[in-house]
Amino acid sequence: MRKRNQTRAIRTSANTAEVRPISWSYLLLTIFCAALMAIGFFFAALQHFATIDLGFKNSKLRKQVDDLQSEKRRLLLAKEVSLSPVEITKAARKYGFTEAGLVPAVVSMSSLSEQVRSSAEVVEKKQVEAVPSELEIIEASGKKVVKTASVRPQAGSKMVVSPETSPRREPQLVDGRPRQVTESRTKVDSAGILSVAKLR
Amino acid sequence: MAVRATRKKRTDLRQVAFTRFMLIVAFFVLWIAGIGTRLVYLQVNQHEELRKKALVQRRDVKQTKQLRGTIYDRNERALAISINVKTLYADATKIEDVEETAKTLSGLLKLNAKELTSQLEEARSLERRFVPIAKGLDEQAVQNLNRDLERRGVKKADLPKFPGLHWRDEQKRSYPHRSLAAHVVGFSNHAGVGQAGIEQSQNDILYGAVIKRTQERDRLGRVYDELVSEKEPPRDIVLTIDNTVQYIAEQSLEKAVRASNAKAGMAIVISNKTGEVLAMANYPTFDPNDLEGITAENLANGSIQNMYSPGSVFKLITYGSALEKDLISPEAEIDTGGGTIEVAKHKFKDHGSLGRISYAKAMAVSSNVAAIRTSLRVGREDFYSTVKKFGFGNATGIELPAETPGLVRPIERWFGDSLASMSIGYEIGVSALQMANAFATIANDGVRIQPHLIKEIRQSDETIVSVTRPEKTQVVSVETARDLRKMLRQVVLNGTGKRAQVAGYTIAGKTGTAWKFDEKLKRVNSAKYVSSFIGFAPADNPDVTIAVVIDEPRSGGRDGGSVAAPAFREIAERILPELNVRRDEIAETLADSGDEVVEPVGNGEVETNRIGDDSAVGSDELQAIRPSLPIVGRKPAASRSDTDASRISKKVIDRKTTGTPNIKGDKQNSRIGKHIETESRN
Repeated sequence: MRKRNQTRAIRTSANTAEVRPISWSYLLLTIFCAALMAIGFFFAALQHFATIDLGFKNSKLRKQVDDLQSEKRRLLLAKEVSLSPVEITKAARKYGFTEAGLVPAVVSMSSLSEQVRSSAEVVEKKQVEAVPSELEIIEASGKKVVKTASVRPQAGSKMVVSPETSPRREPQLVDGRPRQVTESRTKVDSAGILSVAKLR
Repeated sequence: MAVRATRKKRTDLRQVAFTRFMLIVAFFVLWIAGIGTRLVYLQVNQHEELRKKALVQRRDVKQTKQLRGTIYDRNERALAISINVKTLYADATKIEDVEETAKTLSGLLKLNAKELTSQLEEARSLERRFVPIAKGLDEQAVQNLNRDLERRGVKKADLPKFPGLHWRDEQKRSYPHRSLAAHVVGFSNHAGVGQAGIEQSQNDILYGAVIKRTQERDRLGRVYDELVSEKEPPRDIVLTIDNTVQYIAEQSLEKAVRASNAKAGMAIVISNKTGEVLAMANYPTFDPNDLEGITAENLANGSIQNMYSPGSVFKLITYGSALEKDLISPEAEIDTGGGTIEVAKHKFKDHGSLGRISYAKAMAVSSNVAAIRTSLRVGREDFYSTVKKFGFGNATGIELPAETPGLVRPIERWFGDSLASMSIGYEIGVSALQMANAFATIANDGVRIQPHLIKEIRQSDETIVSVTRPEKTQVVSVETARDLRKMLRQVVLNGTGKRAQVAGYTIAGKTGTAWKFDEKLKRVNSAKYVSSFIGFAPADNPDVTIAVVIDEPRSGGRDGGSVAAPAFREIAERILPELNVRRDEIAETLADSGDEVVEPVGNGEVETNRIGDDSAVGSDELQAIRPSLPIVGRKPAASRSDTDASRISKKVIDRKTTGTPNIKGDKQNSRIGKHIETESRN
């Protein structure tokens, strides 16, 4: 009997404990954990989207770097092109500059006479190579060729160069005659007669 | 009873709660199991298929080529540079309205609308997916085109805003200075592979590898992640070429070639102290931007690819070897006799009778007889050894493709008169660079520095990867070099090279005029010359060596002193101030304006026309040197008589066995042996 009562007492206490409502502490703990997880997920999401966003920015920056490097190269190329001798010559001509002869800083009489001699030779050589080609062209076209001006220097003719002559101011002398030749023009008149004139 | 009922009721409530709870749990378990099953199905069974779909959706793999390395000159001026360009192409299968597309594009790109329409329609019928429309457009042009296309209000799907139109990234190689240093820089083809010059020889360094970019994109096509495959970036090359010096050299060379109506010309400027090539000019030349204008004639870099008989400039080596053996001194005298000398039945001539003259004078007036006699005193072995020490017969190792090693036959294959011929610059093939390097060696106190074109190789961030350190070899003693410089100075002051004198500087150098080998005649042709002048300045402490070689001058004075020396002077007087070379105070007083000295030309072979022995020269050698070979005239085997051939063979055998030259000549020449003895005693 005593034993039976004891058992009942235990059961009563157990039943009382089972039906007892969830305590606030447990509830708070659960809510806290849930909130923690939610916040964790939230921050993870934030991180994820921030990563994606950084990825976008990174990609944009990388593209910008590539573009800027391309642009740098393009500008370097443009600079080099504009500084190339051909372009500088073009620009100089555009502004009215003309190509100057070479004038050494220290000029000696011997070098001057050398310059005159060599430049006169250049003129002579130009004539030698220019005239036959023009004649040949006309001859090939079947027209009658008559020389009205002899510009071919005679073989063995000596060049006379005045030692006081300045190559910049004085005309060069060939066969004792002043010659200012920079270009040649060939004229064929209506009768097909060729005249070769050297004009300045 | 009441207590029991209450207990039962409570038990029932618990049961109900428990059952409900279990139901909910079961529901969730089933739900999760369902989802799990589906996930397992998708991720295991459908894995590959879905993965592919996902990758296609978000991943974009692009293969781009790194920009080819840049080539700079020594002053950081870009000589060759690659830039990004774009090609507009059409995927003909995707174009919806061909006519409208063609009309719009032709308006913007100034194309023929009808042609473009027919081209696109044909491509669509053939289902072609790559139809290039405009190539080589830069970023600005692309942006403008995109903007203009946008304005039209036509349906847009992809840049450049038309369905089926796409941009393709490409690169374009540009040479901003056009033909400047074209033979040095070379060019690369459309595939970015070097085809000539530094572009070819350094292709591995300059080549831009293909890199793979794996991009992750979101649904709007924006890239949020990118993986770039690691590849070593191409490197930049800094040359030793000086842009300004190169320009001056090219300009002067062109002028000289045109003035003498020559076939071609070469000019080289070398820094003596460092072996750096400051300029290497060739004429005719080409523009590497215009590949269609390149021909075999203008593509060849004659400075290193052509070999020629140097003629009298080679006397430098002859006198150098004699000075090195202490056989002569610049002040000592030599008897040149009546101006002729016969060696192995081959008569060599001077321009006239010079009599007894000093070696310095002999060099100045370029006496063949004096040079030959000197070489005979030196002997075959020592002469050959000196020639090899100066680097002849071997490529200099300059960083350019197809360099000729020249031609120096071994002693065993020499003829009886070979030593004499070689002493005046025949029977030997050299390149302009080899010859310039020999002069630079003398200018540098006998130390030969390997000529080079690459100063340094560096990364795109300007980190230096390697710096060229050339080999240095003491070829002749300092005293020999100094004596040679003295002798060379006389050439410009009183000899054949007067026209090379530059006001304000002391110049030392040597003229050379050699007959060219004529392929048709199969021997040297006395009507075709190679004229040269090689010298350095200032004479006492030279900074730069300049070599000018004119190939086949056809008008005016055709000797080196008349054709090449003025070009040398023009180059020197413009580059020396440019290179901050100090002026010589004594230069003015030393200049001599006396009569011109005419240089003897040729090796006398045209007159004597000695028949050669092909077995000695070697048919391969002949073949190898034929294109530009002005070496030595040999009649082909078929054209010679047996008696002649046997005579030469006998002569070669005699020469091999005795080891002494077979010298015969006039009265003066018969005294050579005695004279040599006299000089030896001196």
